[in-house]
Amino acid sequence: MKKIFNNEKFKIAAYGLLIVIFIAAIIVTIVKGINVGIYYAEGTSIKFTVPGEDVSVNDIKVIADEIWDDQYVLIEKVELFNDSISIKVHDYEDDDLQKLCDKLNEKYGKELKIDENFYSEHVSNVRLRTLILPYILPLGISLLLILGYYAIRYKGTKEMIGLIKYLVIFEGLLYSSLALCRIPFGVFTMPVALIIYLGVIIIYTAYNENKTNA
Amino acid sequence: MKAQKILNILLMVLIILLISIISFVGIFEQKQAKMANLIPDYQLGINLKGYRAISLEVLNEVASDEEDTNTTSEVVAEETENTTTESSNEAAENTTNEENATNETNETVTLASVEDISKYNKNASIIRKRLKKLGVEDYTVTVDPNTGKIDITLPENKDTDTIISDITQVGKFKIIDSDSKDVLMTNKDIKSVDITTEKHGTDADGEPITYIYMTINFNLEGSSKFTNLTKNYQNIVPENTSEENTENTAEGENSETQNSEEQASEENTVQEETKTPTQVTLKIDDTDLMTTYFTTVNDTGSLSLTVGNSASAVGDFESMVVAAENLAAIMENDPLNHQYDVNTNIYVNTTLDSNKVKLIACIEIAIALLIALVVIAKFRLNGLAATISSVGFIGLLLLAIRFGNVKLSLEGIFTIELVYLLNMIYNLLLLKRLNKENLTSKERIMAYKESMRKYLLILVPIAIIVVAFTVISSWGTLNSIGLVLFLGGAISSAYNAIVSYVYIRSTNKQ
Repeated sequence: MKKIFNNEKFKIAAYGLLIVIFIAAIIVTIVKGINVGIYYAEGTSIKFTVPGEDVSVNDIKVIADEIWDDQYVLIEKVELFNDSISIKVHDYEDDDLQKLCDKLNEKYGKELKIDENFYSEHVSNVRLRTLILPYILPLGISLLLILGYYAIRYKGTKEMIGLIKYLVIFEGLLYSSLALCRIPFGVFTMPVALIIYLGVIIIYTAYNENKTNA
Repeated sequence: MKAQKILNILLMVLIILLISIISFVGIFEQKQAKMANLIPDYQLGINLKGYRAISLEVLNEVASDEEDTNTTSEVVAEETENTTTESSNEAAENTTNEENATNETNETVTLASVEDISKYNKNASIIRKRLKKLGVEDYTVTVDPNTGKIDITLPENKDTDTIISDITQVGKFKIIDSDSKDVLMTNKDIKSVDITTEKHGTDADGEPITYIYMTINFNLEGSSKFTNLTKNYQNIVPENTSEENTENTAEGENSETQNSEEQASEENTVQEETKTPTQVTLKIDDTDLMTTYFTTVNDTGSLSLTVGNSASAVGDFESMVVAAENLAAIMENDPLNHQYDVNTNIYVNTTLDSNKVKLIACIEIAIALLIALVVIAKFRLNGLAATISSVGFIGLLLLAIRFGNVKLSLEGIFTIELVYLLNMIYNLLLLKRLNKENLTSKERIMAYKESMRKYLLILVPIAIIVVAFTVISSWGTLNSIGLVLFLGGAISSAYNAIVSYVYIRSTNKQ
């Protein structure tokens, strides 16, 4: 196994494949953009209250799937009394609210009215740059300092370049999977990106320490 | 001797078992007819706990204050116009835009839209700056470019309502002549505003009084304007007034003490001065903050004001400090271009409910088990000892997280897995060295020291990340990662130093 990975031809082929994947991801991003999940995307938010009922998210999910079966719907409990729910959808039609009201009345045996118990509003998208911006400075500074430490500890640039290379590869693969496989950019994306960053640093540092005799 | 070594190992295993039980199960005692866990519960971060969602709708556009810094009488008239006929100014602006546009009506709409979009984006940017100044973490601010509607998400805590009510103010700060109403200085002249508290003096009950000071630091242009202001609005106190006045003029240029004594000296001078002092009024959004005057020229570029104290606090003193900090955040930045109304203000429960968190925990346990199985398969008895040791380490880490009140975000939970991996790295470093055959006791101790040295060097980049994520950033998710890494690194170093030393000494053949 080690022989295969150390083979020069294998390395060239692997790097070539990675470059192709990254370029394809960049082209797809320019043409189609990143697929932003419903959590951060533009859409319509419908808030409603079913007075006197402990409303379950799973029950509402069943109803929402019947109305909006062709899209992913975000359902969250709001307020503190377990009787209010917020549904966020991408594409919303005028009669969707009435359908929702009718189905809820059927389920809970209530006489909910759109004017009294429902509120809908357009929600604008969260720009990805505002999500990423708070992380840039701390990650940038930590990376620069770690590279400085590498330069002192390993007395050269080989390990520094290696760290940057692996960070680019693994974060690039994450980005490519979002762009090419159209995986939605959601709540888990930034945590996974951060863990990849930390994991690469930890494992690569451990590998270098193990290799070093000093 | 052999019995002693066996006893040492057994004792270590029992201690690890005890730590694990305390951490994963808890210590319960009876409190008021029910069992309560003495171990504090986990504190959850924003993406696990829920948040406040607010949406702001545009009410009307606020007139720009570009001409506000003039001090001629024309501005007084203009100021009056601005406050009473804002809507007519807006209409005039739109008319001007239409006149300047071409015959095609589309272009007219585009011109206005582009300008409005820019103003809406600026409003969102100002609100972000205000939140950043207040040290609010994990917020999002989004703006609908067509309607100007702003959606904000904030962590839910005891200050959320105060923050919401304050950051959405227009925030037009002015220093004006109390008589002529000329606008002398505005937000544009301010570089920063700091709030500090200081204890001095005691109240009637002998309790120390804490004062809240607001220090307005002016920028270069503002400093020069402020110096001229204190010259132009300098009130010269006559010599035959009371002792307090003499004390006041001799006090020097510290306007803090001036403010507290000016009030007293004012009472004394009223009787003897034939003319009233020229005063300035500090206003925010047409609400008077305070009226004051100056007895000496202030060229420090800063104005210090007393904005409250614990003796005169009507409600909670801490709330007064929060309100002062909110005011500072408003004054330090530009005013909003529009007035907003809070349309919705609701608490939203997290999408990551307890079932999803349990699923994440199960996946992490599965990965940890897989790593443990690989280690046991490769190193056999030593691998088993390392795995048992790791269980104790995780138990200790989770206890530290709970007692340390570390706010666990989703990222923090993932970091616990990374810390487990880090601990396993130490075990692998040690086991690889111990795996050689026929090692003497001395060689085993050397292997232990070498492994510990290598491990501490591996922790150096971790320490850098901890500092960057906890000191440089105030973002809750990064703080969560930083604190878990810090606790993980510190505990694993100390824990492994003790446990692996005892294990090596107990398993030495000689």
